[in-house]
Amino acid sequence: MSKHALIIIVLVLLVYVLFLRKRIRFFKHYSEVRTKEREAVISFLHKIGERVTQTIDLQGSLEIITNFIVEYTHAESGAIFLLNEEDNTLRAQVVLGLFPPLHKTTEHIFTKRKYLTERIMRDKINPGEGIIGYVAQTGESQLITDAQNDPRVRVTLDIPVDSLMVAPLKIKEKVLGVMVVVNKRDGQYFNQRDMSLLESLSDQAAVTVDIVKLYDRLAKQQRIEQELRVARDFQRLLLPKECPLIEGMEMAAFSEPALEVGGDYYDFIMVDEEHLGIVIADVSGKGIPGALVMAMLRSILRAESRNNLSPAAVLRVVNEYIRQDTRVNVFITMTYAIIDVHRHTLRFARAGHEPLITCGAGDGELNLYTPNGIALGLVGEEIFNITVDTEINLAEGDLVVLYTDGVIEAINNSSEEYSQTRLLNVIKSCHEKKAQEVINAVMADIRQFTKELPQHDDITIIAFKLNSRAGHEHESMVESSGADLQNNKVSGGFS
Amino acid sequence: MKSFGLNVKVKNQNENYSIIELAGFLDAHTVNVFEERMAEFIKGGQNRMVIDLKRLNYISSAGIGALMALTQHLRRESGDIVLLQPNEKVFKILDLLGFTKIFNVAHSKDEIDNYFQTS
Repeated sequence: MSKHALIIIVLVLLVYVLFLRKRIRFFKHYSEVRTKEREAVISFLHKIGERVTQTIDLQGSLEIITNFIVEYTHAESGAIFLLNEEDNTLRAQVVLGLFPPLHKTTEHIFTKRKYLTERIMRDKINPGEGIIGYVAQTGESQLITDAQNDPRVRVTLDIPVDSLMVAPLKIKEKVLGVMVVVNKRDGQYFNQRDMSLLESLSDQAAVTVDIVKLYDRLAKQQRIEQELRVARDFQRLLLPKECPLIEGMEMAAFSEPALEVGGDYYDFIMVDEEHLGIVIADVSGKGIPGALVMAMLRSILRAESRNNLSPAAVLRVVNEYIRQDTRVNVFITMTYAIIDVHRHTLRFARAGHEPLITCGAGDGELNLYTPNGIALGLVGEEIFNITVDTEINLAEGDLVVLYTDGVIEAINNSSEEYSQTRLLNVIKSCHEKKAQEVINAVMADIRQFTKELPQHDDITIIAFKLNSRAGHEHESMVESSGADLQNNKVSGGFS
Repeated sequence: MKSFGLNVKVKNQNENYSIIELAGFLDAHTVNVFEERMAEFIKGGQNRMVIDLKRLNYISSAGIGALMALTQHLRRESGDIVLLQPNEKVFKILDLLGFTKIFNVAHSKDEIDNYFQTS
């Protein structure tokens, strides 16, 4: 082997060793960086975890995130922007330090931190607008060291910007917001290492924001459910517990509130010694407001119906009260019927409610009554006056059925409605049975139709028939509805 | 319960009125969407609205309440509302409630001008 060849081999080895040492140093350095980053992330999670176990609120979490990130990246100032899903704009949620308005040049810049921060928090930034909008749109983080020359960064003279880093808060390619830090405290420029740290922390921040937002939504949902539960219990208290027992009359009622929407109401009122009033209604509002309207309706009706034999006249008064006292989008559909047990007549008025059904004894002839009428609470007297009384004579054994729309709109899992036709068929098929059995048959048929699907609206049915002309001797009817009955069983109303 | 959505979009706009189409289900679940979108249109200065109901499958009492509130608001601002081509089922509900006596219902586009004369 020649001397030259030996020298060459030694040189190659030397270069190789030098190269290796450099690589090892590089790896060592790189792994130190990664470790630091990992430490930062772990410490971040620890901090967020501490906070979240105390209270979970979005704003509080965002403050911690921003504080932590500004601290760890040694930035002079920083801000976190979240994307508002409704109008698709970005808004600053937390601003720390003397944070410059990066997306807009303002002629007059407030150098007082308080005013500047307020201004930045007020501004809406569109995706694509300035550097913040750019990162939100592309989902790519940006390290900028020559801010003065970057067209995406508007720099004002009052707050100098040397370098800045912008990272997206991203979950599965979906951008939730943007994290920005500006100027390093030691006067140096941000570098790749800082950028990598910010990216890791922003990733964690995105997860946190996502979870806290979800929690916020759930908490809100829970509050709504709580409110609905209270309203439902309250509503139950307003309904009679039993049907009145009246000589010569046989009646039954069934009412079941849905899980979510509530608003069905019914009542029996002794108008005078010979007349029984039957009310069926559906209040459009749900939750507490709906229950309050219902309570109001009940008081007005009880006060106004006494000795008044015109249902339409009572409805007119109720309409005025409801109109004055409720918001415009709350209304009530109602049918108010007054039965003269001795004369076998039924006089009623319909304020936008479902038809009144009669099914003749014997032949089972069905009649649907839909006289003119407008739902309560919508229009003034002059228009409401089209709501008129209708009187029908009832033969012995004629079945009368009142119901709310929850009955015919019960939905099965093919999204089909139970329908009025099906209701009429059931009524016709068993109209000769007792009122309670008719209701049982209708309910059984609805359950068979909807199967396991939860009921989505309140269901109420009232059925009655006049049996004989007993009571001609002018015995007064047994008053067993209303306050007495409800006082008996108030506690039973809670579930 | 299965959740059905609501789509609100501006179909047509001229100097006389805007046609806003509702598609899907207007009920307690979607009424917020409707109210928010309408508030935007009102803010934009529009007070004569044609609500195209051809593609509306269902309206609940909550939806009708919202329509009523909108109508009253627009009438106070000397505007008005016309309901355009409700399907049979929606019309039946409106009619039962007595709403056909309160709302202007147009069964074809030609009828709109009866309610919105250029003034």
